[in-house]
Amino acid sequence: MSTPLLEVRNLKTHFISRTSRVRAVDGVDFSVERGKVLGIVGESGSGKSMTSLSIMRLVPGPQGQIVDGEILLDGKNLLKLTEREMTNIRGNQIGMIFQEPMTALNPVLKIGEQIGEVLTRHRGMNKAEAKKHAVELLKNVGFPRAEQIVNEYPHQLSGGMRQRAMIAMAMACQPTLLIADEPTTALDVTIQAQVLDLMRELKNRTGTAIILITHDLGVIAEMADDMVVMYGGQVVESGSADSVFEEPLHPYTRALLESIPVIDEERERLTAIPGTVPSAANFPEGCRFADRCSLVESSCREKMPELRELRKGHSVRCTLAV
Amino acid sequence: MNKRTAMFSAAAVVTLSGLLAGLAGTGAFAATKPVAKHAAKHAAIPNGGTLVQTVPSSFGVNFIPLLDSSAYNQNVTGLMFDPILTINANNQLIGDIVQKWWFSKNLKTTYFKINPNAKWSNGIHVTSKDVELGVDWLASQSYNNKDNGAYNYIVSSIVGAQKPLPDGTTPSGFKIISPTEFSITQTTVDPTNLGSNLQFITPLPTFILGKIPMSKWSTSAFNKQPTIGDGPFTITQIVPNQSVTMKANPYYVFGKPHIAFNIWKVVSPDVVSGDLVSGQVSIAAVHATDFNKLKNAPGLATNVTPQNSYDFLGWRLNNAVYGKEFSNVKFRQAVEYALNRPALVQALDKGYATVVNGPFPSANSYADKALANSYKYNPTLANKLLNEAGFKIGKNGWRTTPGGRPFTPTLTYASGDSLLQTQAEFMKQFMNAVHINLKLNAPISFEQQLNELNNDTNGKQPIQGFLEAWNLGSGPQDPRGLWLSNATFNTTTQDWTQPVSVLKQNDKLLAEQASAAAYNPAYRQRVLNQWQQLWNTQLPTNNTISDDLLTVYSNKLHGVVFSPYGTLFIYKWYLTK
Amino acid sequence: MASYIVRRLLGLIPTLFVITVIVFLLMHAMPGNAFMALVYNPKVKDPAALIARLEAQNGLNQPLYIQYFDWLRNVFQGNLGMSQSLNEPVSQAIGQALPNTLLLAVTAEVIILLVSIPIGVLQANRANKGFDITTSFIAVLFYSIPGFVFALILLLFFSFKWNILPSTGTVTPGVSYSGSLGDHIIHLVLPAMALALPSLAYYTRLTRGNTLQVIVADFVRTAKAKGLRTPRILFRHVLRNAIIPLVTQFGFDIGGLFGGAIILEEIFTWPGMGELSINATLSHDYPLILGSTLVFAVTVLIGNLIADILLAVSDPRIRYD
Repeated sequence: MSTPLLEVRNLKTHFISRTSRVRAVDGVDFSVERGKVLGIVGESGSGKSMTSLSIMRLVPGPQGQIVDGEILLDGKNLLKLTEREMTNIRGNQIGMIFQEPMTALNPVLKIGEQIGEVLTRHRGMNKAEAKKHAVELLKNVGFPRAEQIVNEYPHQLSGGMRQRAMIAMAMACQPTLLIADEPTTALDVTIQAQVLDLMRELKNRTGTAIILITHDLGVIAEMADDMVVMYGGQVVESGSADSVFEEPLHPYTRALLESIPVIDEERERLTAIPGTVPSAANFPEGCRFADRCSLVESSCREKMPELRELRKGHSVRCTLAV
Repeated sequence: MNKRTAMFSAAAVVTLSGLLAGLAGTGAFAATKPVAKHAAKHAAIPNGGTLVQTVPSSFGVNFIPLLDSSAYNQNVTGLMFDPILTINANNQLIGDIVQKWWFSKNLKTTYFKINPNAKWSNGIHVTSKDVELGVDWLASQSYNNKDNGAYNYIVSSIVGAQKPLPDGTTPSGFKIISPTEFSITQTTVDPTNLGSNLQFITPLPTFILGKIPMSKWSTSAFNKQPTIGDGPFTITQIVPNQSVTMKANPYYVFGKPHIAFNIWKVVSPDVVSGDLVSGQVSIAAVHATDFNKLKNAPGLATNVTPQNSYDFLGWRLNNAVYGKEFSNVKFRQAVEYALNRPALVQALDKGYATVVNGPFPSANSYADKALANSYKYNPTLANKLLNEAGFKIGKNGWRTTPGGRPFTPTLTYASGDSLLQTQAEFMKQFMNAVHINLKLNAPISFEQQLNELNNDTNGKQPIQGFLEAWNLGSGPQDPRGLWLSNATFNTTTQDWTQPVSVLKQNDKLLAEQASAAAYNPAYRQRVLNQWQQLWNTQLPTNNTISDDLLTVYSNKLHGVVFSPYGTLFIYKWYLTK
Repeated sequence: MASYIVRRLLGLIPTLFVITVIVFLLMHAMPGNAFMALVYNPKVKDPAALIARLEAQNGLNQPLYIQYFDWLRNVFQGNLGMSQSLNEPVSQAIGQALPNTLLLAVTAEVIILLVSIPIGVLQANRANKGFDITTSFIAVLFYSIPGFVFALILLLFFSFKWNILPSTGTVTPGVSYSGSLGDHIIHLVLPAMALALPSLAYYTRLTRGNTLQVIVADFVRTAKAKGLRTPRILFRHVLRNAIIPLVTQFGFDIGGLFGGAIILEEIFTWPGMGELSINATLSHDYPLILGSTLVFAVTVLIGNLIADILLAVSDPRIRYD
């Protein structure tokens, strides 16, 4: 078995101020295989977005700091690189797209420039070449009028179009890894499907691995090869998407699966998980899900459960799971 | 320089004291350096160098002499065009373009002989024709009806020039005798006319301006930048609103000036002191505060010269509210005693000023020295005079009018000059100290003050007491324009209305000082002294102080002749390395 | 775009009309006119007649509304009249003064933008660090000192003490290099600096504030995720957004800068609109007052127009119609 494209080991990203320490990412391990899609799922505040920003080393400073761990891209530890070396990785070997394409795109620069500057930066193209190439990239993500679009501004595009443009931008240098942070959350349902189709198609065409971050298990089910469930800054369950969906081992994963609206049934049903994610500044001693867990036992609150591989390639952080 | 100052201020143009310092430019006053001293080391006088003089605000655009009313233009044209006669530091008429002059037996005609050295800057001799063109111009309809026309008075006493003449017509009183001799006949016998008016007749180059119709002069290229002159310097470059550069005229009547270039530069009064220190300006007049600071600055020399000008406190004697009170001579005498004028000298001018007791300041060569110590500060006497005149002190501590009405006269003064403001506040204090409830009006613009003075025949204008100043300039100091009982300026600005016998005496003395007998200087001075004494008892205005002109100049500049009538004889000045 | 500008320019006409009417009335409410001082001379034999002649020549004996409409008719024919104190056409006087004021104001504006924007952006990028704190302190210091004080300080050192820069005018008279480009530049340095410094501080603070708001935006994170280097992120992505409120302010300030130039022109004896209009007002020179007022009003209004156009140009989300 070849080495994974990306390996994240014991990643800890904390927000440290004079009075508090917020453990946003608190010892996360996972790996992404070449050409595969890893889904990271979790509620807001679970640390999944901060994990992705940590991989890019874009954790907002000065409070946000990666305090421990390793991020190995092709065996190279990104945390050991200088900032200047890191800028050569970003946009080049790792592309990233964000949740809200309206704010993620610069409102006063033309689409063509925003795509083209990645190419001038990493591929050494001049402006004219970059613009020409941007047209190609836009065509690749399904723009029929790509020649005009390069001269338009983000506000002139629809939400789906903007996200396509974002994808074109992130894919411009054919990165080996694409991080997609909630890429469809802000979009209409029909558009969501189109965008996901596009990502899948690009993955198949270019062999780019994808980290797909979402709170929508439906999206994971549709896209992911492997998945990681995050809660309270930790991985609570990981494994292949098939095995996790088939046999969710963690009570939280099960609760998440139950909360998916099932549209084809007669009545829509949404079981929200009672309670809220605990504050990352003040985690409880033992299992961080204990307060919301329907199966909680006193032992759960005493000691932090280990992540145990219960099935082949399928691990869970719960003492009760068997 | 004297010509410029003379032209402008012989006209006794009224001006704010602040403006005055500015307008005077480098025009400094009083001969403190005897010319003889320089003559002794004449052999060592170096030639060359550039002199930088200042004006506080922009030039006008017309450079034909007297076409522009801007005093700053006259700084320039005064150096480029010499008139027929000029004055020395003692205010005596001396030759310039004209070398000699003499009178006919009936004293109405004056004969002039042009200096054989008088040449234009291209070497051509100045002729009687050129003088004639200068006269024709001032008498012409174009000048009087289309252009400025303000200096027509220079020729209006010549027979035939009482009304504007068609362009190019010579008044019959002007006769060419030969290319170097001419005569001027006046309508009346008047010993003051030569020094007050005819002196300023300026020859104009017939070989240039003679070929241009007078109606086109103001738009001609020669007007925008004259190429030829008969003065010590000629213009080489004009930068609009900024500077005029002039070079020495090799054919100047008194010899080529020592200084090679003279630059007139517009310099804000705010920076003149600094420019003097840094050497960017060679000579400039400054205010007393700056003068004291610059006195010991390295590289600079200073000069203090009394000026022929004064500040005064006037009262509208025809005022509808208090004219009767102001017209009481005891009131004005009391005011004169109540004014602590030595204190004003210190407060306003740091001691660089003198008290004025008559119609002429003491620097004036015609001033009656006997008046020097009159009206010493004496509030007790002021109170006594006011009591005698019936201005009783009421219960509130303020005087009432002799008729028993409240007496709250106001003082009007022009805005824009902090010294004038200070002066007004002093006046209020002095009057309040003798129980006169003088109140200060808000300052108004100078133009507005003139408007109130000029349009006040019925005494209804708000102006009652007011602050103003006169600059009397050079020449024979003919007081008729200001002080004849029917003079325009007498009826509209100042007045001395009672008793009638005083007025008659006044007009009689003023007529005598301008009569045929007054061609005798001793006689004229005697009459003028009598008149000044009459004036001094009547005090038609309460004259206060006369500022000195404080000049600061580079210690490399030598030979400057300071006089109360301006700095003289620029062709004698020189610069050392 | 062109039609938008034409529409806006046409829209200025009523405003200008109202401004000139107000100025005209105020001007005539001041008693006395330009000829009062000219004839204040005891030697002038008949001052009243001379005043009457000069007033008649200049139409001042007509009813006010006729004087105004005469003026207006002439303005539409491109004739601003004759200055009564300068004896020259108003258009000529303004033609000489306006370029000097424009040169001064534009140079100051260029200095302001070239210096304050980079400093403001770098301050924001290093917010609350040494560079930001020191430059911000200097900026606040500069901002709290009025321009004329700067003018005097600059003059004191550069002109009076060290004598390396001239204190007055736009060219050196009487030298061989008079009027050369270098000559113009050395004259421009001090007044332009004095005019620029206070605004410079203000614009630095404004840039810093705007940049701080923009620097946390999502698209900045996107730009970083693209691997762009800091200068490109700051001066292309951030500044391009932060500059929008700045250019708007800038357009409005054109009129203000013009006004500030006037005070400094007095100090530096800079022969511009300031000197001209002050002298016009002091001498009650009606045609010159009206002419220079018109120029000022047009400048302010065009400044506002430029502000709008700059906003439209700098922010593609805004439309011209």
